[in-house]
Amino acid sequence: MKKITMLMLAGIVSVSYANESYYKSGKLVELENINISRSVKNSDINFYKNIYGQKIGISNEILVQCKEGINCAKLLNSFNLRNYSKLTDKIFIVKIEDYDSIFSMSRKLFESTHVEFAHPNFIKERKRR
Amino acid sequence: MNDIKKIIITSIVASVLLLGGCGGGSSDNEKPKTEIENKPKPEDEDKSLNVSLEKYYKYLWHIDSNNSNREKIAQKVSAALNDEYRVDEVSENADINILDAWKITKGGGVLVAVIDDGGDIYHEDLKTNIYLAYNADDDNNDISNRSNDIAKASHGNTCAGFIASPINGKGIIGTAPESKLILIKNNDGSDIKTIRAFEYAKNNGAKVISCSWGTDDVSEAVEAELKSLYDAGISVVFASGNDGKSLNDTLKDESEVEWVIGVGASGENNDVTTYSNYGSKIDILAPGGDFNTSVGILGLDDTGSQGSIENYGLVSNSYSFGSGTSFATPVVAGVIALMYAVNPNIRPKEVRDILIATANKIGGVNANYKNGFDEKRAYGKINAIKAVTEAKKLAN
Repeated sequence: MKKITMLMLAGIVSVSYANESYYKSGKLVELENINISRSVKNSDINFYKNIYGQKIGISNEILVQCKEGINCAKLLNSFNLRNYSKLTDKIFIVKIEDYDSIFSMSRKLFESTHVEFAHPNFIKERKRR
Repeated sequence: MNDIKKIIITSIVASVLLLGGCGGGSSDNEKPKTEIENKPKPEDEDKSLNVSLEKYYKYLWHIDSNNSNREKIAQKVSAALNDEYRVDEVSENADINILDAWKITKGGGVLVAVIDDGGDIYHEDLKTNIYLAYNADDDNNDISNRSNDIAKASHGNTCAGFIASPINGKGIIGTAPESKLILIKNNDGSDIKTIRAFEYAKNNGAKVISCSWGTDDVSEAVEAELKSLYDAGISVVFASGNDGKSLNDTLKDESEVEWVIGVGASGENNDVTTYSNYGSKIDILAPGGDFNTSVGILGLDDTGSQGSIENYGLVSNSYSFGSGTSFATPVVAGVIALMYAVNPNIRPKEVRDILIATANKIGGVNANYKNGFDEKRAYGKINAIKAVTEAKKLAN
């Protein structure tokens, strides 16, 4: 009986740790870690599921767009983020060394209130129509 | 850097054509086009060619449904498939009134980008209208798909043909047959590479971008990029999808983004198809056909040198019948290219407003348009001549 209880508790804990979240349009969106990963061109991609069961890959990059008037480079530096480049005039790619902090760093950037968005680089199934 | 890429692809294309190694099966001795010759310029095709002499013109019901109706093409398909349950005629009104629009312009001088899974730059009915090819996944110019798996063939090839297959007598005609194409391979699905594909189109002069795909869950970064394209005066068109469902209660799809034109599919019967996704953010319908119950829409084969398996024995291996909002979308992109041809300074908002205001309210008694909008039929089916005429008026 003790064993079963322990296993159930362990299960609950692992599920709660498995879920991650990021901000989309100001609201927290949760993704479930489905414990699948693959390596593509020396980059690790872990897979998650959204509420509709769609599989979404996450690489070790965050996409950030700062609000008008904010010096984005300065902002990123203030978060000790040094490995970044411009993807477009407004969007930055930030490489994160510690994969486990991808989601928490995305949230921190958004919560700074200086960015329009900050989310991981999603890799989604591209459906032909 | 881009200039170097242009030169490289131009050299490759020219060399292969000179060696006669064209996968698309071109058998004529025409001089290979260089990138310089393929540069967009107004009205650069041979005016002596009559559209109705195009080899498979009778099957192009989205171009001339009166003719397809007279030719009884649905009966021919039914007979070829030995399938009596197919519709027995194409509606006379199923086309998009484009023949009159071509009297004004055929899209010369306009660059249209197709972002998809690749293409066949040697296809006989595409090669003269390809201006640039770019692989956004690998950052090179190889957009071919060498897979032997037909399911992985180049869907982008078919989509591109619906925009810019030239009037050359060989097979089909795109809706903007004198426009030029930027073919961009982007199969990866990552936000970064998707945005790179859009940036390439923008930086190389595309005025229209056609996207026959979606993820059912657009990222904020991609949505921001679509806004920046809109602000830059570029019209982006997205397919709504083929599940026959409402998009209203799902996550936001690319086709629902405010800065793009969302496209559903109309059929041979001149009504919305049963498979076309719909919703309050979808803007317009265009012919996509219904391959399963009717004729389908005839386009370039998506299998490159492997040859088409969907030609019913009625056309050659370089062409195939298919259906989907994927094909309705480039039909719309081509019409928008015509609008830019007559009014290069037209803004995306004006393009959308005109398309909506001039659409044909199809569906008859089954439709229920309120303030011009029907839940399943959006604002109706695109009307090319009216759209081009209104765009031209704005320019004056």
